[in-house]
Amino acid sequence: MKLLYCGFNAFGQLPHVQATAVCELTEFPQMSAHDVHISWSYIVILSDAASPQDTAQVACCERHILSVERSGEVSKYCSDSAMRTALESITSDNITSLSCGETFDAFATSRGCVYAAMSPVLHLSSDHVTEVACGNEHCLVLTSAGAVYSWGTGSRGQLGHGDLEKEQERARQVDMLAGLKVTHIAAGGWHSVALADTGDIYVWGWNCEGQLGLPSVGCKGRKRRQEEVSVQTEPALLQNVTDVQQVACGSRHTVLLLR
Amino acid sequence: RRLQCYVKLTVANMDIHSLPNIEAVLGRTWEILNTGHWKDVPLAPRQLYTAAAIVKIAALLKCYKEQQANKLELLQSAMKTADLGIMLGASLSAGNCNMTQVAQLLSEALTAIQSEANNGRVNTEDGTNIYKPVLGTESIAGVRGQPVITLDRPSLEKFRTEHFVPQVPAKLTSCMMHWPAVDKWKDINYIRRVAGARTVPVELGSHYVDPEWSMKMMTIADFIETHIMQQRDDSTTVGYLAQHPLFDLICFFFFFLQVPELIGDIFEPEYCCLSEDLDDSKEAEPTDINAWFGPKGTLSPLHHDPKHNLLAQVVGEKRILLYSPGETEKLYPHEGSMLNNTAQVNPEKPDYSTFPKYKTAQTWECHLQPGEMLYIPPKWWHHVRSLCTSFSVSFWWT
Repeated sequence: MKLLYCGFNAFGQLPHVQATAVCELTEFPQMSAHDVHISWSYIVILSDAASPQDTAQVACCERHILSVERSGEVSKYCSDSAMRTALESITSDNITSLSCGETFDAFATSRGCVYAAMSPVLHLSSDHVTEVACGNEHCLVLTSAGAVYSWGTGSRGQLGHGDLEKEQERARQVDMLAGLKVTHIAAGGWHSVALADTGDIYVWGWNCEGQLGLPSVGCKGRKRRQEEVSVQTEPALLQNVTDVQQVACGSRHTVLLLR
Repeated sequence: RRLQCYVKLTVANMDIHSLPNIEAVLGRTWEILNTGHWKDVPLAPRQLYTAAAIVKIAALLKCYKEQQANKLELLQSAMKTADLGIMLGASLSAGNCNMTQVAQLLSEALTAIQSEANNGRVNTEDGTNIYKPVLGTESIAGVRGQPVITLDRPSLEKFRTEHFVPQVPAKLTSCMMHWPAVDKWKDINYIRRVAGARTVPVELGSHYVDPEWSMKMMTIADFIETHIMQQRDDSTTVGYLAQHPLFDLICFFFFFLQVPELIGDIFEPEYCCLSEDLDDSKEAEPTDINAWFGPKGTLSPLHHDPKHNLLAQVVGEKRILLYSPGETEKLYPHEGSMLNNTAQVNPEKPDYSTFPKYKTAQTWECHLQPGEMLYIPPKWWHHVRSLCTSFSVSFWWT
């Protein structure tokens, strides 16, 4: 597949382009890839040339790149050491998905256990984890049954429980999505997004730059102040948006791919 | 470390094209400052923010010198950058750059340009009659209370023994007689002139979980225009105060840090030197001085603060209701660590069926007029409503 890029380019993220910012989607030359992960410091491209069998999952954040092999071995790479180091195993179970954020890393095992910051925060008895996503201070977990759990700091409503409290002991289910089957989750710096099997999008967390797609104080244009949302503490359905196929979040923005 | 590269890039070619680089530093550092609790943020990222702000201002000023168009926008952007630098940054240990001074120079330059542009079309509208209330306290709906005791310029010792130590509120009169502010701030055009170009964080809404809550950065001139002057024309119909569902809590936390010229108009009350701590050798924490500036009808919902508070009314009038910490149960504080200093009861619309104990709570009341101060002891619940455009200064100390 072709790889297209737009965004900041002062570090030569796009090797053949001089400008410090790339405003239009531009193709990576001579690159055919099947997956890409992007963070403040790293772009990780899983190219078609390499064998896709070995690496099960990759995640990156400002601090490092984490990858987990099919064998279950987790490695860490960071530009300081220029070396790939194996991560001490936190569990003997197979790690099936992982994610990292600004302040901590999260791992999900084949036996339905999720570790954040190296201690277990969730045990599922009859379900298993399909996705884990990390923001700057929180973590979201999606199970195969379509349930969403959240963990971490909630001071901007990013946990979705209708308040600003944190959940540090155990990940807690986002009850307001309990009637839905969520198929995909994404976490931004301080916001969360869930895609339901109906193609609908639910958003919660910080909206300082309009990253939730709701009226924001940060946006230009006249709006009645009553409509503006700064912090959304429980999932809200995005109106006028349907048939969403995929969602991804940056630190303070969200991107939806429609069918 | 990586951020150092960005800064080097900008310094090398300081022009309009290098602005995205320095803004990347500011943007990234801003995110670091917004992670976790503000009080836990280490010094280093705040200093980095200040350093980046300095570089951005330098780049903008270089463009200002070289360009012909958009000069005003460049200066305004530099001004906003300096204000954010004051609010979020921390002074650098090396070098002699003082962000407050930088901000003052920029502010003066902007004011000069803007008055030139107005061509002497000085604001002739009367900036003074917005500070007179149209309706009295008796027109406010809800509970009434016993008047708080009033003392006229009490001695330090009397205040200490009868109020500070036993933690009993009091209204103090004749303590602001030498404050230039009481006269100078009567004219809103003075504030507009001295501080109009400055950016302040305006918090609108009673608290975070309130769906109406939002925080917006705006210049004081914009704030005055959209929130204060527009209210002036609002009807003086009876019941206005009861009808208006405003929950605007507007406090400028950094106001005096940003505009030191106004600090010369006020004086820290001598009562603030009192301390519960008997250890004389311990250095006292500096007093927190905050500005509360807002239109008629602004309201602080019932809440309490951890420090001693002297609320000094400079211009305009306020009605304050007080409850002692002993009444806390009757006020039904919110659950949760973020909001438990805010009560659920609304004194102006008491709901005795949901909150039955509130009926027996003892209410104290105070009508604060210009030149008067109210002493609010720590943990005392207070509810504040402004009766007209009002500017108060609060002194928080331990």
